[in-house]
Amino acid sequence: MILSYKDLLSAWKRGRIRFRPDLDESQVGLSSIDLRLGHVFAKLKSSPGIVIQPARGFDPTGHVEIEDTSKAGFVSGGPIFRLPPGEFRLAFTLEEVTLPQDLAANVQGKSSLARAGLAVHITAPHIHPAWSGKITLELYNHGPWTLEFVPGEDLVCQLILYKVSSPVDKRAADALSTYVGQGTPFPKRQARRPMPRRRK
Amino acid sequence: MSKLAAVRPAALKAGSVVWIPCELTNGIFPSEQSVKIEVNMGERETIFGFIPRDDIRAGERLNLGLVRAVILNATNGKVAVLFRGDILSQSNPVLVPREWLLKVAKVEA
Repeated sequence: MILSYKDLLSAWKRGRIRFRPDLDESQVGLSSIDLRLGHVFAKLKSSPGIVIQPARGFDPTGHVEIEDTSKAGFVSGGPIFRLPPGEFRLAFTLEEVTLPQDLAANVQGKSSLARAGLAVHITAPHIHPAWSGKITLELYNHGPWTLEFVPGEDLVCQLILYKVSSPVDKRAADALSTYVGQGTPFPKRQARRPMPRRRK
Repeated sequence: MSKLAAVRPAALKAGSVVWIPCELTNGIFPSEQSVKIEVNMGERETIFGFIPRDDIRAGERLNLGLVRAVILNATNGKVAVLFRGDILSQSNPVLVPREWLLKVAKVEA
């Protein structure tokens, strides 16, 4: 069963689903929660002749270029991320998400951005109950134009939440969602810039 | 950071946190590391994944450390351990031999 607006709001306000930084209420939709694009992007460098066994482990050292738009001196000259046609980047959502032991989720794209050619995952949308962390996005531009985003603000994907048939062991779920070395994983909400208007 | 101690058998229960020795290299993102765990008991296998740095403790040598895992279940000589991050080589939770885990893992003292 997919959670709809009223249940999403309740789950968020009661702290069953947690986000850091916290959501703005405008991110909660009829049956999904929109998430923002994070600041760090990984470009896998093209290296002729390289073969990897991704299911057996690989060392990415020297084969990845990191772009962090939150740091001064970013090459594009501002807090803008550009994805040219036919290019692939790994990224994260801005929000760290912590799911309770009885809800799983799917991360999916948004139809408005899909019209422009953006895909946000490559066949890996599923998130298990009790999962905690930033969601990895596999961004790919299928369209003919360069796509430009404002990291930290633009809503690029949506989280769809499902009830699972039986919950993960609560002790394990609690241990998974405990952040190492931090007293509380979710500090108080801080004032920040107004949210951009919600896009369908 | 708290000290680590050997794992007692009674501690291998759902929700317990254990720290497992691993080899470390760079991850794809700066916020994560590549982790390689050699299970050298029973059916030998290698566990490989990208794990958030928050879940890793540095070891005595640069490329060695410990990775945090949460016990989900322990039955019939096997223990199901869950890692945060992405495990590439197995399903997560990963099933490991109980005796091996007792031998190598640590818990916070």
